[in-house]
Amino acid sequence: MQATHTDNELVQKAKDEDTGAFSVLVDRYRQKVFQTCMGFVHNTDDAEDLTQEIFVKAWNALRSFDERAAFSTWLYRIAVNKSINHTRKMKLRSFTGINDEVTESGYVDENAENNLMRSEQRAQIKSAVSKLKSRQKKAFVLFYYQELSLTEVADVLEMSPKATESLIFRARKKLQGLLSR
Amino acid sequence: MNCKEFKNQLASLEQPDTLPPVMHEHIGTCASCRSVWEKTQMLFSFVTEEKTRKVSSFVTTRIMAEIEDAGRPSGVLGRPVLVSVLSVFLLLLGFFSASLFTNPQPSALADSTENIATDYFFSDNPGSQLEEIWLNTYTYE
Repeated sequence: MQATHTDNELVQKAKDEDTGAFSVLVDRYRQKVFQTCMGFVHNTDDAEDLTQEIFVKAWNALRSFDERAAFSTWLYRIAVNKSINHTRKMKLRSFTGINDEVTESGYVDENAENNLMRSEQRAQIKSAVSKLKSRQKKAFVLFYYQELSLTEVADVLEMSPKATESLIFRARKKLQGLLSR
Repeated sequence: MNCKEFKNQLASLEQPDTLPPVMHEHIGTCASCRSVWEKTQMLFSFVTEEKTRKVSSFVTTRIMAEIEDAGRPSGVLGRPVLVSVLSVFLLLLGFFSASLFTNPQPSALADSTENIATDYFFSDNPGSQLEEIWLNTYTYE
């Protein structure tokens, strides 16, 4: 099913409540959506939960998908918007002291000092990325985490490729400034 | 190349791994720009490390289970509706059954009790009047 059916065919079936067809779409796009979520939440467990929420939302909103854009574009649009909302919610929770952030390090190093330095660097990078403006962050994540082309990012953000290019440049410039402080 | 030009050119590069020779020359003499370049590299290696993480294959199972659960109507919507309909029905039943046991027309006994009480209050000699009334009532019965 996965190799033979196009996205549009699967979407048509999924619109007729065919959960099997939707499951193929989930398999096809789960890694990409997860990568987007990682760009926003920087934590594997949170990114997986968010991936789940995004696909459930996509299933519920599938009838409103008019197929003017590609299914992937529509799905990535949901992903970035939901991720932005999630990070806003988390910011509010950490502001009110509800959120206990668990720092996750992918490195297993016996040298504690090295680990500490690495986790400080990671925290600095996360903080810098979180300070990007909403549109800059969306463009940065889609371009670097998902490795979409400028045209694809432009489609998701409903902007011109030129404006998208300038948005990504400004994101890089801002990150540069924030990291060199 | 000055520092401002270096920073602008660095921001215009998609990946900072390979710098053009003129930029390389600059970081050889400028420690501050070298530090900016190193931190930018650090950012991109962080991104590379994060995007290589793999999503669990169980995510699909979790998603499909949630979708299928939500598709069942009785779970979320059915129960509250049933509970409220039943409570309204029981409330109405309560009202109707209560009206079955109450007689809307005043009884004869209630009438006679009222007459006795009225006579008692408005008579000149309530004690004897009352006695007489009771006796009469007894006789009639």
